[in-house]
Amino acid sequence: MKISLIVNGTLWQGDVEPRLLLAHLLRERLRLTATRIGCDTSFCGACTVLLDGRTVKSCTVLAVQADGGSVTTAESLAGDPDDPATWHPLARAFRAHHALQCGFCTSGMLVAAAGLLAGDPDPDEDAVRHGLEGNICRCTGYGRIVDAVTGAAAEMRSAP
Amino acid sequence: MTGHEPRREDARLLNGGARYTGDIRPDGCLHAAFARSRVASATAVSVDVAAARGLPGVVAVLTAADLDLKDIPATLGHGRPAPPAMTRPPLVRDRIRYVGEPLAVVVATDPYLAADAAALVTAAYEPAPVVATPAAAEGGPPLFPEAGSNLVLPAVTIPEGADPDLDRWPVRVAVELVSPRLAPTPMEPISFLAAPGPDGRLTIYCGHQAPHRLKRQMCDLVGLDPAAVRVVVPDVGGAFGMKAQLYPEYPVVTACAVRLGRPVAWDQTRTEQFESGTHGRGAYERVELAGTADGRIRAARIEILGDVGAYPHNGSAVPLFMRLMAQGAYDIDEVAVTTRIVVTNRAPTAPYRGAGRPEAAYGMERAVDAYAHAAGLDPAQVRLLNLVRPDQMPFRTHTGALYDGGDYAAALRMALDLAGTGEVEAWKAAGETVGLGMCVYVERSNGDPAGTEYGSVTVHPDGTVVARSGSSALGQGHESVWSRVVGDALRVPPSTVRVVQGDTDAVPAGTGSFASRSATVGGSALHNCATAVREQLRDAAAKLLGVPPGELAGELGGLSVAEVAAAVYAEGGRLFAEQEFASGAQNFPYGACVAVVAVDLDTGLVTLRRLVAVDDCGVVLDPLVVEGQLEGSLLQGVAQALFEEVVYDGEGRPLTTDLATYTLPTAPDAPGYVTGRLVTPAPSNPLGVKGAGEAGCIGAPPAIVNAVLDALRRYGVTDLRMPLTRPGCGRPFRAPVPPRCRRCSR
Ligand code: FES
Ligand code: FES
Repeated sequence: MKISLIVNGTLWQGDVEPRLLLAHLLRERLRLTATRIGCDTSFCGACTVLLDGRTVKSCTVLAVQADGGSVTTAESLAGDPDDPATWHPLARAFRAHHALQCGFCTSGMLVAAAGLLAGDPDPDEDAVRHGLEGNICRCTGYGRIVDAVTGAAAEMRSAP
Repeated sequence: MTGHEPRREDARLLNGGARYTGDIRPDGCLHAAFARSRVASATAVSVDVAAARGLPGVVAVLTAADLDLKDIPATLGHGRPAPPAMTRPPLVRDRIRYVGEPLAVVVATDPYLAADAAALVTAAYEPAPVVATPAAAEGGPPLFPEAGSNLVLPAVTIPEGADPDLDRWPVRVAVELVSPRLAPTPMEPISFLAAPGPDGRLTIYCGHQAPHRLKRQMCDLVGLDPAAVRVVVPDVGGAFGMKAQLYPEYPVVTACAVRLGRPVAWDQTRTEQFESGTHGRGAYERVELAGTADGRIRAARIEILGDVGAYPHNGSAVPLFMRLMAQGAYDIDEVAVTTRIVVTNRAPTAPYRGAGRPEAAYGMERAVDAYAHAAGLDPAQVRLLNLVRPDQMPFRTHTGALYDGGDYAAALRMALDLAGTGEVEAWKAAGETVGLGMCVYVERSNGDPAGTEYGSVTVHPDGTVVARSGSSALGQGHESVWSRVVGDALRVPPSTVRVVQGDTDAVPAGTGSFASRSATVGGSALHNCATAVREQLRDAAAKLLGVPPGELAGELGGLSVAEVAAAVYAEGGRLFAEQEFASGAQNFPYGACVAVVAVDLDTGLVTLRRLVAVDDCGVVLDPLVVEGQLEGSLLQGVAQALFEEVVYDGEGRPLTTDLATYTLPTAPDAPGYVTGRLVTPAPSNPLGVKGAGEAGCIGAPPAIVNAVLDALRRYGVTDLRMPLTRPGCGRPFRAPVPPRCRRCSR
C-alpha cells in the first residue's frame, strides 16, 4: 500500500506491506534506529514515538495506520553530542542525574517523557512514575529517571 | 580520582548516536529466523523444511544435517568437564530436550519472510518422558541415555568428609528454600550479525560480554581461521550475564554467512529469549543451623540442588559459586555443604547478575532469621553475635573463600540506623501490618582469581592517549571510567584519553566483562600500564632536560606531554605499555540490606516502605556510577522477591514467555533507595576496588522476604516462597486472597 507520513518534519512516501509495523518502517526503511525494539508484546516502550503528538508504541501501530500522520522519533530530540548546550533539556537532565546506563531504553524514555511534559509541564513524582509506566528500564532502578524528568520539567518551565 | 564526572558515552546515547548490533545492517543483509521445538522431550526427531524452502524470499533453510558444526561441549564452568555425553548440537539432531530448542534455521531477504518460513518447518518425533523439575531429575529418565543419569555433578560434600553433629546443640532450625528461575532480560534482546567482507574476512557484531572468547568459539565450532575473523561489540543494551553465553544460534548464523557469502543477521525476539534462555538462579536449598540458646551459631549443614536445564554449560558453575558463598558472613565452627547438579527438560541456565551469591545469601539469611526466632532472640542481635569480625580478617571459610576485609557489623548497624527501626516499632504498635527484615551479605567478585585482563596504554606523538582494554562495556560506562583511571595515573586530562574496547582486531587479547571483574582486573591493567608510561614520560623528560629523573621540577619539568612525546617519537622511541593483569585473588564486597514493608492482609499486596542498602565495594572510582549499579541491582532483587519467576508446567512447557506473563517492575513499582557506603580497599589490586554491580540483587531478596515474614509472623506465617506475588503463597494470610502484583491489583 502507498502511504505518506511526516517523520520528524520531513515527508516520507512509499509502498509498504499492510502488515509492516511502524517500528520496522522507521528502523529498517528510514534507518531511524533510535526507535528500538525490546519486546513483542507492547510492554517495554523502547519503541515509543509521538504520533500526531500522542505517545504510542510504534511496535503496536501498523505503518499504514500512520498514513497521513506525523511521527516524532527520538532523533528529533537530538542535539550535537559534542555540545550539551544544544541538547534537549531532558537529555541534559538524564546525563546530570545518571538516568541511563546501557541507554537501550533511553530513546523511548525521552520520547515518553517529552510527551508527558507536553501534557503536564509540572508533574509530581507520582505523575512521572505513572506517566512512564509503559517504559521498562532494566538498568537504573528508575529513581534517577524520575528525578531527571522532574528536573528537566523545572528547567523547561523556567525557560523563556 | 574522586567525584562523579558526566559520562562520556551519554553524549551519543542521548543524542541518537548509539549503535547497538541491531542498528547495524550492511547492504544486502539477510535475516535469520529459527524454527523451534514445541515439546520439551522427544526422540527420533526428523525435521521437514520443504514447505519453508518453497517460500519466496527464502535463501536457505538448513538443519543439523546440512551444517557441519561441532557440538558445544558440556562443562561444569571454569573449563571443568561435565559428563562428556551431555554435549549440545547447535541444531537438534535426533533428540529434543527443551521447548524452544532450535530445529532449523531459515535465511531470507526480509525478517518477516524469514519468520513466515520458520513457521512452516515441522518436526516428526516420538514423545519421550519429561523431566520437568529438578526433584524429578535424579532417578528420572535420563536426558542423555549415554550419560546414564541426569546428574551433572553427583552429591559432593565440602569440606571433604565434613559431617557436623547438629543434634548436640540446644537450638536447631532447618529451612527449605527455592530461588526461582529468573530471566535476566536485558532490554536489548540478543542480536548477532555475521558479515563476510570483500577481503575474505568475517566480521561478527554481537553485544557479547567476552568478544575474544566468542571469536575462539566461532573459529572452533564452525572451523574458521582465527586470522580471518573479527568480533566487534558495539553498544550493548544490558547483559547481566546472559550475553556472556555461547548460544547455539551463534555458530549457526556464522556458518550461514560463510556458506552464503552474505551478511546474515539474527534478532532474537523477546519470546525466543524467554523460551530458550539462558535463565538464571533455579536453586533448591536446605539450610540447617545449630547452636547455643544465647544465639551463637555453631554448626551448619547445607544442601544445594542446582538445575542447569537441558545442557550443562556455564550455568553449571552457578551452584558451585553458591557453594563457595554458602557460609555467608558468619563465623561458624563447623560447616558442611553438599551440592548436586542436574539436567532437566528446561531451557539452559547461565550466570545471571549475582550468580550463586543471591541464592547463597537467601538460604543463610532466611535460616539465621529462623534461628533467631527459635531462640527467642532479635535477628539483628543474632547476626551481630555471629558475624565475622574485622580482627579475624583475612578470614578463611569452610567452603574455601578467603574474605579480604571489612566490618560486617558496622554495615548492619548503619543499615538499621538508616532504616529507622524506632519508627517501624511505632507503626507496629499502632497496629499496622508492617515488618522489618535484614540481610548481611558477602559476595565474591573477580570470578577466576587466575583470570587475566589485557590493557595497554599508548601516548601518541601529539600527546593524545589511547587506552585499550580487553574488557568491553555493557552499559557500565567503561569509556568514562577507564579514561579517568588512565588520566589519573598518567597525570593527563581524561579528555585526552581515547578508550578502545570491544574489537578483537583493535585489542590483541581479552577475557571479558562479567563476574564483577572489569574494574578489578581491567581497570588495574590500565592503571599499571598508565603508571609505566608515566615513568617513560618522566625518564624522557629528564633526559631532554639533562637532569636526573628524581630532580624533575613538577611532573615533567615544565614540558608538556606532547613536547616529550614528540621528542621520544622523533628519536624512534615510543611511549607504550601493555599488560595481562591477574589479581591472583578474588575479592569480597559485602554489605547489609534492610527492608521495611507493609502488607495488606486482604489483598496480600506488599508495599516497600523503605529499602536500605549499605555496601562496601572497596575504593569507589565514580560514586554515581557505583550508586547507579547498586540501585539497578537492588531493583532486580526487589523484582526477584516480589514479581519474577520463570514458570514451567508439568510437561516442561514454559508459561512465562513474554513481558506480559513475566512481570518486570516499572517506575511505579520501584521503591526509593536509601544507601550508605563503607570503604575497605581490596588488598589484591592496585586500585583497591571490588565488584560493584551485584550487591543489590544479593541483599534485597532475603531482606524483603524476612520483612514480610516479620509482618506476618503474628498470623502464624513462618514460610513464604519467592516471588511473593505467586498465587498460592497467600494461603496463610488472614483472607484467602493470594498476594498480587501491583500491576494487576490496580
Ligand atoms: S518494542 Fe514496542 S513496546 Fe516493546
Ligand atoms: S539504561 Fe539500560 S535499560 Fe534503561
